[in-house]
Amino acid sequence: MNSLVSATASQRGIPAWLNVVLVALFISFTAVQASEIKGLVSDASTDEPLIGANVYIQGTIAGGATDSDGYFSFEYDFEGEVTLVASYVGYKLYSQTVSSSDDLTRLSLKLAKDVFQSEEVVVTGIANKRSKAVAEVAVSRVSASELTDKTNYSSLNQLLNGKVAGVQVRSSSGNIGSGYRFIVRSGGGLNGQGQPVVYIDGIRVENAQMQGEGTFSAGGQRMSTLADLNPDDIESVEVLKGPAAASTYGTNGSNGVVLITTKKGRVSSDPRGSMDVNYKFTSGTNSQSFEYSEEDFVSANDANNIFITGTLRQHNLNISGGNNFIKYYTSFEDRFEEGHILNTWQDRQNFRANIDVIPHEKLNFSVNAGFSQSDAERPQNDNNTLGWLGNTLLFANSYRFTDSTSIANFDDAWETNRFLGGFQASYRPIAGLEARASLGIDNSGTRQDETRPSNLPFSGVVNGERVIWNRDNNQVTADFNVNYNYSLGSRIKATSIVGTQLFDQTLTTNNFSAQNFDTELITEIGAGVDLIAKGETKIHSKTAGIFTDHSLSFDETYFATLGIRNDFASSVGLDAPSIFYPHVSFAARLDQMGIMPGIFNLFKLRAAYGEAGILPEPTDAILRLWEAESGGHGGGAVLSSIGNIEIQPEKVKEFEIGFDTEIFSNYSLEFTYYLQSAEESIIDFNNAPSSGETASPVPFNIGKIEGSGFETLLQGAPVRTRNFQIGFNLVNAYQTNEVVDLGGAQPIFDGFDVNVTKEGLPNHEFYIEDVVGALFDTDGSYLGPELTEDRVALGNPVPDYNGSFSLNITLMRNLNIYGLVDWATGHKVYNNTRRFSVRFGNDPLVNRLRYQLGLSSTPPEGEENLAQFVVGSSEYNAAAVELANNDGNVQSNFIEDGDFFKFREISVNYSLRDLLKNFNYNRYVRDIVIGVSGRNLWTATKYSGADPEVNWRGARSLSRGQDFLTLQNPRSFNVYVQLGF
Amino acid sequence: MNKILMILSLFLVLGILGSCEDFVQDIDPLIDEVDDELLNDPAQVPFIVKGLQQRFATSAGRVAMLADGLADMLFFDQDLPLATFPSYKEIDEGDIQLDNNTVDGIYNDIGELIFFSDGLLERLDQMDGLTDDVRAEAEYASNFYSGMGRYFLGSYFGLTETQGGGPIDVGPFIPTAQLYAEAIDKLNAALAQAPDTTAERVVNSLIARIYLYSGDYSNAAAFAANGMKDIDEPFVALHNVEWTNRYYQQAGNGRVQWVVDFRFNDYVTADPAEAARIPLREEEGTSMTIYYVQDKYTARESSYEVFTWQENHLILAELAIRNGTGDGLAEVNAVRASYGIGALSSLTLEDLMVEREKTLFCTGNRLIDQRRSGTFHLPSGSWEYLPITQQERNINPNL
Repeated sequence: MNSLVSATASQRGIPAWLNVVLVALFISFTAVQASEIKGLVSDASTDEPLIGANVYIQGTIAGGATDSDGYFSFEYDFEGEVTLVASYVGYKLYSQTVSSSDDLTRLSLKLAKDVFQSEEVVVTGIANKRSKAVAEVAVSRVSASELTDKTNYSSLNQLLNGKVAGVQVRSSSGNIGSGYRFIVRSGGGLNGQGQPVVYIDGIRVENAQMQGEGTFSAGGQRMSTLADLNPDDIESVEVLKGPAAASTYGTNGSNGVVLITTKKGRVSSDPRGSMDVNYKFTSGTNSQSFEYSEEDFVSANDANNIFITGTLRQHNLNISGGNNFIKYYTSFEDRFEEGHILNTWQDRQNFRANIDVIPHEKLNFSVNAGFSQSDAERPQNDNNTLGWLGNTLLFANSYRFTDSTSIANFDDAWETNRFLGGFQASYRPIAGLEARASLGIDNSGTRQDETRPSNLPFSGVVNGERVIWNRDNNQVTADFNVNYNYSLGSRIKATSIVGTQLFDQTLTTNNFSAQNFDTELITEIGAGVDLIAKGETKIHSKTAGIFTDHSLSFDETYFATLGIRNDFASSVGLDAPSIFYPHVSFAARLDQMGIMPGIFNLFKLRAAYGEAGILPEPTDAILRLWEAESGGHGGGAVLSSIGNIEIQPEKVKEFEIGFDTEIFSNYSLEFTYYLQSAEESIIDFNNAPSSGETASPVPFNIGKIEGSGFETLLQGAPVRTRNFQIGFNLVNAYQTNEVVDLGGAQPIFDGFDVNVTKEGLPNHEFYIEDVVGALFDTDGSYLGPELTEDRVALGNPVPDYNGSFSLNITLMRNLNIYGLVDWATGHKVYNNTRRFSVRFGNDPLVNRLRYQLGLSSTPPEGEENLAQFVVGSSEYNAAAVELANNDGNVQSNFIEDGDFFKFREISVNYSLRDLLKNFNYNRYVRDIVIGVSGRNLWTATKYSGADPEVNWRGARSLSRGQDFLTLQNPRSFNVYVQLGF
Repeated sequence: MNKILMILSLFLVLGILGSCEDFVQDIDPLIDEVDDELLNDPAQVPFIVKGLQQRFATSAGRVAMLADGLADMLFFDQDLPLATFPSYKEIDEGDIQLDNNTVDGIYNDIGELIFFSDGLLERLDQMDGLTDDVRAEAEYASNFYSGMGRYFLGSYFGLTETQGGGPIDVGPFIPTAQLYAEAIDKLNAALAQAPDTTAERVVNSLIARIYLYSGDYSNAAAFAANGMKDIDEPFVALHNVEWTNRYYQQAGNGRVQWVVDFRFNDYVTADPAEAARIPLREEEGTSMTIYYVQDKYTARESSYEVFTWQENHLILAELAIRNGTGDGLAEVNAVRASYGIGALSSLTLEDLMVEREKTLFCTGNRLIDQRRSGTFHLPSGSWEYLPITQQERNINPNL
């Protein structure tokens, strides 16, 4: 006999309106005599009380949360025995059978630390959730809220980088709001941009970067569409890293799926009221992390002088609470951050409201809604004569292209408003059967507004220019699935799922550019005499999938899942079939078989195979498209796109095998080895120019690429006492890939002809003619570098190995110290900045060599007594070889080792919680945390440039690992204070 | 109960399965692009013809500026603050890599010009309800621009440093002479459908120019005789502020990457009246050196001069010298007079070549004149043409 009890709601100070709601919702339920259940929840090792732990009666919604002293109290009417369950993030689930005849007012529930997070329920498919202890696929879970409590993250990439084995997240520049690239395992297929699909609370959100309009779009950098997210709203992030786990996500799941869960309301831990209020203020700085040297650049001082100390201030307020029937979380963020040079900043406001309603044991609803507004400024850098770096690193005499006042006055302003909202409902009409439906919207509007000052000496912009670019993205995700749990005999449990997923995206843009303003006082675009550019685009695309998934578990020891998804997409050719993506996975808990030594709390072997795909571009399936080009003769038809009516998605297959183990309750190790193979990869064939069909390459499903790698995560908590705790995470990953087949196509190069997609080489390999020596004429004079006859492979911009090590130390209960270092090895960077600096005479070494060889008549400044070598002498010949290896016309001279080791994150904070309690101030303030944090504190690298992680062409281009006047990532320091009420 | 619910759910999902395909195909049409088949409509012919004109406009001045850069008319000097393109440096020095991306761009455009032009003729056969007037307009445009595309290919591109010509439609290499012959055939076909006498004179002049460059002086004379007259406005490729004149953009007020050879300033210094046909302005380099920039195409929308009656007179003058007929001196002096420049008293072939480089300033003819007069200025082994691109060589099995 179970019944719902709402007895303590009013006692806990729930607002009157909530009471009205609750009464209205549950009018039919009548409270009867109830037993009071009270007790303490604490850490089994340290006896530290656990604040905010959930305690509930299994199979009901009756329960409560622990207060700031770890105590819980709720009422429940029952007779006989029930199971009392306690859960807390990072701890193993605790359960205890209690009887109505017991004394239930002095319970002590001791929870054991869950090092492996084996009890955490993780997503293992689009409609599949299970605990990590029985998951058949590798799933990484990042407890984001624990990280954001410690340190300040500007964006999702900072939050995730170094936290997930097999996933790197690299910002393409130090611009605030810069685009970033996920590097997932060995890269999946050849097509697309190698990026995972990102969901927030079940809503598929746009993971793209925005180029905008204007001069080369600021030289190459793009803005991330995820830059407006507030990392402090994120509770956790789960990452499915490839088709083996993400197959049920179907098309576009081949590079994995990132599942972000935002914070939710919890049953209040405060007996005085129903809400927890947290306020955090952060103040910080961004500054130059790498200083240019006069040994590398004649103009180093000018380059160093462009850097400033940018400031950060952030207010975060969140209010959460609720009871067993309704829970809410709402937050507001106000953040202003300046970069470490002028013209880069972001001013961001975020509002979020998450509401969960459980009107009945069989039914729950949730609504998640976020609205963000952000203003940002993008600097001019990269391949750009209008930028700070282009004017201070290329020539010995700085600001040769553009004067510093004009650069400072260059305004590339971005404004984005975004609504992210979703509704989910779950209904369990009978035991074991659950139907879930969700609908989500990601709607964003962006306006880029570029104003160029007058007298800018480039491309005729002599009287000012305005560029306006508007972008609206509207995407809708709808899911419906039915999940049925049942038994096949006493030893086999089964789960069957059928479901469907629909996705609809409409992306529109329009732009205007006007020049020649007769007054600087009016910048309205209509005041420009010449409307030099205008345009509009609209792309509407849809995908739909239907899937079924069947899982069996035998004695909770052996597990197997078999499923398939059938996908449809508007960008697939009319002559192409719908696509099927199967998957199968197995796991076995060896620790349950009694064959493992007792030190193993858990030892699970697992293996999985899955397929997923990458969609063609939206118009790839249309044979020929024409656009109107509005020239001097009027708007005429010119070819714009050449497609293939048979085009299909690229199919990516993945097999992974691994194990998860927990030893001595203090250590856990996860290991996964994977093989990836992509077939029917879409290779863009360039037509011969003489065909006249060069408006776009033609896509064909003919390519193939294979990859493999492994990833490990070692976690440990070797010391756990009340006053001293140490925990660590060690992440390691290796990856490699090889392009197997291009179907006869020529190698595909990036715009600078250095990165290649070529059979027999890793994708994106640097592939250039290399210097083998120096050439001399008959009298011994230096002629130039001697090159290899053909291009040669010179390494790859994607690291072979990467990893991180993080350490958490707690001293005196309340002092927390956290640090993370990360590294990447086995990769190269193209230092195009130095190459052009050499070519333009700004490299001291090359200037000296040229003088010594008699190629320049002017000695370098400050070296007027430098001797010139005699032609044919050994010094002359050695200098010639050195010059050949630094010749600015040879790209291979600038491929450098990019290996690095970074002291990436540190934070130290102190909680005054105990102090407040001792002085009884906790009646007013539950907790005060004061902390400092830092980012990018120190880097060790052989790379001679500023930052081996950046890429001048943004985060989605064929160009990879190319540093070309690209802004380094900043060094950041923050101080913060957090108040809990 | 649960079985019933599962069955119902299965039916629901299967129902969705049946409509998935319809769902994904029900999308809004593109607004900025149109499917090829929708252009098979007589009403779209003017739209297609404007496309030919537009591609002609983006090709003509662009290839001419590069040709002047390869010739001794323009040069690239990094002493100029905004002269940064390595691809221009290669062209200026005649040491052009096959993957020079500047050459890629113009080579692709000329390929499109020929494809669009020839494709229009084929498209006409698929159109219902085509009137004679519309057919004539389309055939004239198709033949004219197809002919000009072949002329550009033959004049400015080469398989080797000295072997001019290029392929069409992924075919074998076609030498310049054959391309010129095909260009003349196309232009003759256009001539038959020319919309008016002015257009006829323009076509005649262009044919005359090609015969002249082919060394067929007899035919050149015949067509030049019916070519442009001093009543005719220059035949130009139109630009607007969006699709700008390339001389303005890279060798003028837009950005100075190319400057004019110093001898042109000497011409103006020697006779200030020459400024009318050699408009120049000064530009200071980083070293304080004074350079000279063409001031002929001063604005974004400045029209590129494809052919003028003055060029027709100079062709007649050259043919007079070469064929020994007519009064070449009078033709040249008429040209000079049109710019307010005093008359010459005598005329040799060398004098005529000087008159041509002055009159045809920044029109892309100087490179061809240098080649045919044996006065190419770069060392032996330098490219005298823009190379057929690496991309063409990689893909075209017939090369």
